[in-house]
Amino acid sequence: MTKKILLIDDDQVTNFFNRKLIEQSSTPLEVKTVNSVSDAIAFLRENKNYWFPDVIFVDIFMPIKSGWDFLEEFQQEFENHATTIKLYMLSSSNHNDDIAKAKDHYLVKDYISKPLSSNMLSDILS
Amino acid sequence: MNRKLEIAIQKKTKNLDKVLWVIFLCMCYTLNAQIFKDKKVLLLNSYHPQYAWTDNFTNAISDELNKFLEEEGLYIEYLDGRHMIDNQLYFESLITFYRQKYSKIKFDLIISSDDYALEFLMKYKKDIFQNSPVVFGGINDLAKLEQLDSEHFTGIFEGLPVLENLNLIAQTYPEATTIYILSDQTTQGKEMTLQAEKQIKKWSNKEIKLIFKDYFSYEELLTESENIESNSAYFLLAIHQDKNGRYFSYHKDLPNWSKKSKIPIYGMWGTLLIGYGATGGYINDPYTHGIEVSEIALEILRGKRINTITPKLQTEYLPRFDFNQLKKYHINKKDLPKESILYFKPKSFYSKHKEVIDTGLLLIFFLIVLIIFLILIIRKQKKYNLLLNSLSKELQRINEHMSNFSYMTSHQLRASSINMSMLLDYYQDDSLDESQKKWTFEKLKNTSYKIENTVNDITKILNHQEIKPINEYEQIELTSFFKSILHPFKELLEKNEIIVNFNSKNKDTLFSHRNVLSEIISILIENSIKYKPQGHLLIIDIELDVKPHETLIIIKDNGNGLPKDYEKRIFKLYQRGHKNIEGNGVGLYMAKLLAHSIHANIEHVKKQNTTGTIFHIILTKRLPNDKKNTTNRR
Repeated sequence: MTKKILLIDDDQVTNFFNRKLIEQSSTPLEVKTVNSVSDAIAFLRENKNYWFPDVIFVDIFMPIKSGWDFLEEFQQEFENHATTIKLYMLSSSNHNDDIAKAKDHYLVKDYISKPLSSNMLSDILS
Repeated sequence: MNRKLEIAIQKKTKNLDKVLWVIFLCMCYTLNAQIFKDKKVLLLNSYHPQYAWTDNFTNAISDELNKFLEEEGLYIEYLDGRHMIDNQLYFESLITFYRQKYSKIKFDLIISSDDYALEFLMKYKKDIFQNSPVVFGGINDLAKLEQLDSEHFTGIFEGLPVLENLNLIAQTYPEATTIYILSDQTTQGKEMTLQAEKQIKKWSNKEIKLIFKDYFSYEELLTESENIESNSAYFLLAIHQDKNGRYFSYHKDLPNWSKKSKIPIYGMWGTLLIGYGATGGYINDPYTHGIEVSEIALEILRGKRINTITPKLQTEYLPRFDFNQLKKYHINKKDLPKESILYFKPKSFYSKHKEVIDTGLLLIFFLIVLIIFLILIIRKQKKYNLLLNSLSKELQRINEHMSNFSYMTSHQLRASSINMSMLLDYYQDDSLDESQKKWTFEKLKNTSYKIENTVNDITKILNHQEIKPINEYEQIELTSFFKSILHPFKELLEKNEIIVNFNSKNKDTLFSHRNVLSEIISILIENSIKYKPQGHLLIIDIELDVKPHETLIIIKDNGNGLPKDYEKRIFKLYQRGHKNIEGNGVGLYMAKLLAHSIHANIEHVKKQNTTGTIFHIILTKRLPNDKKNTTNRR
C-alpha cells in the first residue's frame, strides 16, 4: 500500500531535497509539500477524506506560524487521526529545549535534526 | 674650646633653665607646705561648740589652716560665754586652768571668735599666752578698735548693720508701722543696744516707730507675739538670756517663738536664724567670715607683720530670706532686693529630678541622633537596592536577550550551512542537466547571502544593545528631523505614490537620541512600505501625542495590517510576518532593541474595526540625567 507523506517547511531547498529522498525510496510513497502552517491545515482540511498523510514532517521555524502552532491546530481539528499518523518535528535547531519539548508532545513521534537521511526515512517507514 | 664641644654643651644645657625652674617651683611648693610645720595656732571661741555660729566659724578656720599646719597644730578652746555669761567665778577658774594648761606652749598665732574671746585675750593674753599675736573675728563692738594694740591685734569686725536691716524691713514688710528692736540686759546685749541707738539717730523714716525692748521674759515675749497687731515687726539684735536669766536657745526657743508670732522676725546672724523661724535680714555667714579671718591668719604665719594689716570694719552681709516665712507673712518676693538669697524654696520638678531629666534628655538626644543616622543608612540602602534591582533587571533582560539571540542566530546559521552542504553535494552530481545546475547554483548563492546577512545582523545587534550615554542626547528640532528621515525613501515614496503626513501638534523639539530614534522610525516606515496594500495607495501618518509623563510618536499606515498569529511574535528575532514578502525577521526586533537603548519602548497597537498597522514609540519624559530615571521602559 502506498504511503502518503506531507512535508511542511518554508524552506524550498529543504523541501526539494526531502522530496527527492522520498522519491528515491524503494517503498511506494506519495509526497506533498506545503510552505506554511496555514497551508498545511487548509490542505488537510480539504483532503482529509481522500488523502490524509501517514507521515508528517513539520519544521519548527516558519513565518507567521511555527511548527508548535501546527501541533496546536492539528490537535484541535484532527485529533482523531492522531493514532494513525506518525508526526516528526524536522528542524535544523539542535537546542535541547526544542528537542525535549518535541519529545514530550504526545502527537510527536520523534524529533529529527536536519538533514533527513535515507536511513532515517527507512526506519520511519518500516 | 673647639666648636663641636661648644655645640654639644649647648645641646646638653638647652633645657637646663627649664629644669631649674621646675626644681625651684617644686622647692617653693615644698617650703610653702612645710612653712607651718612647727607652727601652733590657738582658736579661742567665745561660745560653746554646739552653738551653730561658732561651729561654722570653727569649721572654716579648721578647713583653711589644716591645709598648712601639721596634725595637732591647731588648738581649739571654747569659753562657753553664752552659758556662763557674766559669771566672774567661772572666768577666774578658766584663767587658772588655761595658765596651767598652756604654760609650756607658745602659740605662733591666736584666732578669736566673738567679743568674749577678744575681751578675754585683751586682758590675759600676755599672762597666759606669752603675748602671741591675735587675729579676731565676729566682733560687734566697733569701740574695741580704739582699745586694741595694733602691734598684737588685727582682724575683722563682724559689724552691726542696724540701719540697713531697718530699711530692709520697711522695704519688704511695708505694712509695718512699728519695729521692735530686741536685745537683753547682758553686758553684750547692752553694748549692742548702745550701738543700735547710735545708728538709729540717722533713721529718717517717720512712718515707722522704733521701740527698743531688752527686759522681758521668754513667756512674755511669746504672749506678746501671739497677740500683737500685724502692722509691726521684730528686729533681733541678740538675745542671750531673758530677764529671769533663762538661756535663750536659737535652736529651740526661736522656732517656738516664730511659730506663735503673728509678725515677722528679722535678724543679722547667719546660721542661727535662717531655718529656725526668722524671716530674714541682712545676714552674715559665719563660714565665709571664718575664711576671711583665716586668710589674715595665714598672712601673719607667712611672716607679714601684724601692724601692717589694718582691721576690716565689717564682714559681708547679704539679704537672706526663708521662703516659708515669706509665704507665712505674705511678703512679696518682688519687694526683696535683687541680690537676695532664698532658702528652702521648693524645688521645681526639673530641679528635683534634674539628673534623671538631664540623663533622659541626653539619652533621647542620642537616640534621635541614632535614629536619624539609621534612617540615613536605610535610605541609602534603599537607594542602592533600587539601583541594584534596576541593574539586576537590566542584566536579566540582556541575559534573556543574549540567550534568545544566540539560539536564533545559531539556528539560522545551522539551517543555512545544512542547505549549503546539501546543495554543494547535489551540484557535484554529474547527472544534473544545465537547468538543474543553474537552479542549484542560484540556491547556493541565496544561501550564501543568507549567511552573510545573518553575520551582518549579529554585528548590528551586538552594536546596538548597549544603553546610550546621557551626553549623546540632544534637543531635536522635529521638522528637519523627519525630513532627514524621509530623505533616503524619497525615490521609493514618489515611485509608489506613497503619502507621508506629519503632525507635530505644535511641538517644536524633542529631547532624545537623534540617530537611534531616526533608525527606529526608519525601520517602521520601511516595514509600512514593504507591506504596502494592494489596490489602494499607501498613506503613512506620523503624529506626536504629548502626555504628562511620556511623549508618543505614533506611526500608522493603511496597509493590510499584521497577520493575527504573528502579532505576539513581531518583536522576536527572525520572525517574519509574510511568507511571500522578502524579509529576514530582524527589523522590528532591532527597533525594540534600539528603543530600549534610549530608555524608550515600542509597542504594536491593535484597534478594532481598523485596518493597517499602528506602532507607538514611547519616549519617557524624564530626562536621562534625571536621577529618578533609574528604570527603563520595557
